[in-house]
Order: sequence, then structure tokens, then C-alpha cells
Amino acid sequence: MLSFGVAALVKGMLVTLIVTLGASLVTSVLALIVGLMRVSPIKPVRWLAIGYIEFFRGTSLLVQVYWWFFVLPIFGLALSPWTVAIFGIGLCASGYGAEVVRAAIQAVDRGQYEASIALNFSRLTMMRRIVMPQAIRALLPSWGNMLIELLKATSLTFFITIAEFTSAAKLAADTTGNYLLFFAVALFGYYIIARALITPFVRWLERRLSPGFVREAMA
Amino acid sequence: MTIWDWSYVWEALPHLYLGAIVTVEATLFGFAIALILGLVFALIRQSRNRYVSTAMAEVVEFIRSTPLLLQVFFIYFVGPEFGMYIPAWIAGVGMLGVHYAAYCSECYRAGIETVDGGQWEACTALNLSPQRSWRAIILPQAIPPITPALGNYFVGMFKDAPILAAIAIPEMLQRAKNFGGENYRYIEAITMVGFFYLVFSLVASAIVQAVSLWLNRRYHLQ
Repeated sequence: MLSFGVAALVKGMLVTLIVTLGASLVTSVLALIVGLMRVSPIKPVRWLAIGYIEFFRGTSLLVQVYWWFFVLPIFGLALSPWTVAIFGIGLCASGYGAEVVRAAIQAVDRGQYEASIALNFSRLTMMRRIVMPQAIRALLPSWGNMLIELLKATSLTFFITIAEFTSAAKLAADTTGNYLLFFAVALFGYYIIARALITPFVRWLERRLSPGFVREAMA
Repeated sequence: MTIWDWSYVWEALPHLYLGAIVTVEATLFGFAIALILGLVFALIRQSRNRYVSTAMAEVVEFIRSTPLLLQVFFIYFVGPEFGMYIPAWIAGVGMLGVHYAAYCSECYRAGIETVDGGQWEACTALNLSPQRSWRAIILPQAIPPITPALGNYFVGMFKDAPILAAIAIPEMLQRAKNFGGENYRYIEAITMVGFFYLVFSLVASAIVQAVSLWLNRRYHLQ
């Protein structure tokens, strides 16, 4: 009985990690695109980005996931639970991520833009060579928080029948009747992934991507 | 078969209305818990005793980095194992409150830490008791600036309320899903829930902004 529970938990943990990884890739790419659109000098592009951000931030993640999962099949587009999990969570988080990207870009010193214009850089070069490398340092701490939010959000795939970590813990607890053990293990499992995997990874990225800059110790 | 059928919209509305009341109630009660408990967490974290403040920080970190759904399961299912039966409503709303209290406590902490150090020195110079310094000097300066951040959590909490469906609390999304299941028509009900959420979120953020303005003016900040 116990070995069944342990096997379920290990499998669930793997599923959670895969969904988190997939969703974080989707989020990072979309957030970067939408965040850049949000600071575009062209008004319609900016409005499009604002609409996107407000839409995904304004509705509940679970509502969005249900919409992808239950409503899209009516249009003849039946997505697998995996696709819904990775893209549903990724899309929702990208709304928040885009705002983080925008804030980071706008936090870059005004003089850097002026200097780029004075040096006659094209807007693309300016973004790629001057602004983004500086923005990414302001971006990473929030991005780390977002990864932890994503990790927690994957627990909601419980509602669309994916056997991830929370569902696996529930299944194991229901089967063995030992709720305290399995739920406690699951809680610590999430905590360990967040604190021993994601946080050090983001710290490492911060060190890698900011050569010549020393970040003061952060909480 | 039409894609969007208005007759289902009218049929679903009463269900959604009942669910919306549950959702709003859960959010309001939960937020009340979060505001008070969050302040308590933040004050404990400011404790002079290093062990107390470190332990509090760890607890907050733990609550923040584990999913709400799992915490709700934990409270709801582990209690009966020890003969402690907690009603779903209390377990759900209570855990929603505790989860967000952890987030709010970080906000309060940020607010407390931005209060100028000189204020503390002035309190000492005027021989105010610690209680009085907190109540009359520090907190009135710490809280108004962080109301927008606290308000964000209010909206966030509202969007996390559907999680309560997992322990059989019939909130709005759950009712929409059940309605969809009965009629084999998900599109109207779920789309409308999404629309309600959008409206509620926009209204709530407008209220938060108004409250924040009022508080800042009331305490002559900014």
C-alpha cells in the first residue's frame, strides 16, 4: 500500500516538474513578446498588449483552464489535458509576466535611451544590445517569484484530470487513508522544489547574467 | 446548433447568481482574516527575539511556496483523522485567509520597513510605550502606502476562490460547470463566469484605488 503511494507521488512530482517547465517556457516567450509590445511606440500595438494583459490577469486561472478544456471542444478543437495544462497556465501567467517585463524595461535609466539615440542605434539594436541586458537584471527576481507561482498553479490541473503532485497525494491518501502523511509529504515536496531548486537556479542566473554587477543579498 | 444560445444564458443566470454570492462572501471573509492575521504575522516577524522572527519568516515562506489547493486539502482531510471535523466552509475560507495572510504580511513588512528610523527615535524620545508607538505613529504611516499592494491580493484572492470547489463548496465556477454538464452546453455558462470575473476584478481594483487615495489623504501622506 505504502509503496503504491510512494510510486504515485514520484510520478506526480515528475508530472508537476514537466508541466512547470513547459508552462514557464510558454510564459517566458509570450511575456517577453507582449511586454515588448506594451512599450512599443505604435499605439495599436500597445493597445493590443494592454487588452491581452487585462484579459489574462482579470479572469481566474481556473476559469481560463475550464474554458480551454470544456468550451474549445465545442468548436471542434479538443485539446489534450497536457496541452491545456501547459498552455493554459502559461498563457495566464504571461499576462503577469508581461507587466514584469514592462516594469523592468521602464526601469532602465532614461540616459541609456538617449545615449543610444545619440549613437544612432536603430530601435532594434538599442533594445537588443543596450536596454534588454540591463532590464534582465531587474527582471530576474520577479521572474523567480513567477516561477514559484507557476509551480503552485500546476496544482490546479487537478481539476482537469492530470495526475500531478497534488492529485497524486490525494489519490495516495484516499487509497491508504493516511491523509496526514501524504499531504505533509506533498507540502514539503512543493516547498523543497521551490526553495532548493527554483530559488538557487534563479540566483545562479542572476549571477550569470549580471557580470560586473554585484547584487546585494536578497531575502 | 448555434454557437452562442441566449436562452441558456438566461437559464444559467440564477445558478451563477447563487455561486457569485458564495464567491464574494468567501473573498470578503477570507480577506478580513488575511488583513488581520497578516498584520499579526508581520508584527511577530518584527520581534526582537531572533528565533521568533526567523521562525515566523520560515512559516510565511512555507505558506507562500506551497499551493493553496494542497493546503485546503490538508486542513480539510487531516482534521477528521484526529476526530476534528472541520466544516468545508470554515476550512476553505480559513485557509484562503491564512494563505493570503502570508502574502499580506510581506506587504506590511515592506510598509513597516519604509517608515523612517527617526520616527522610532522620536517615539523613544517622547517616552511612548511600544504599543502606543506602533498604534499611533508607525502603523498609520506604514499601512496607507501599501494599500494598493494589499488590494492586489484582494483581487487575487477573488480569482483563487474557485479552488474551494475542490472541497465541495458550490462557488460560481463549480455551478457553471455543473450547469454545463447537465445541459451539455458549457460555452455560455463558463464564458459568462469569465466575464463576471473580469467585471468584478475591474470594479474591485477601482474600489481599491479609491480606498488607497482616501487613506493616504486621511493620514496626510503624499
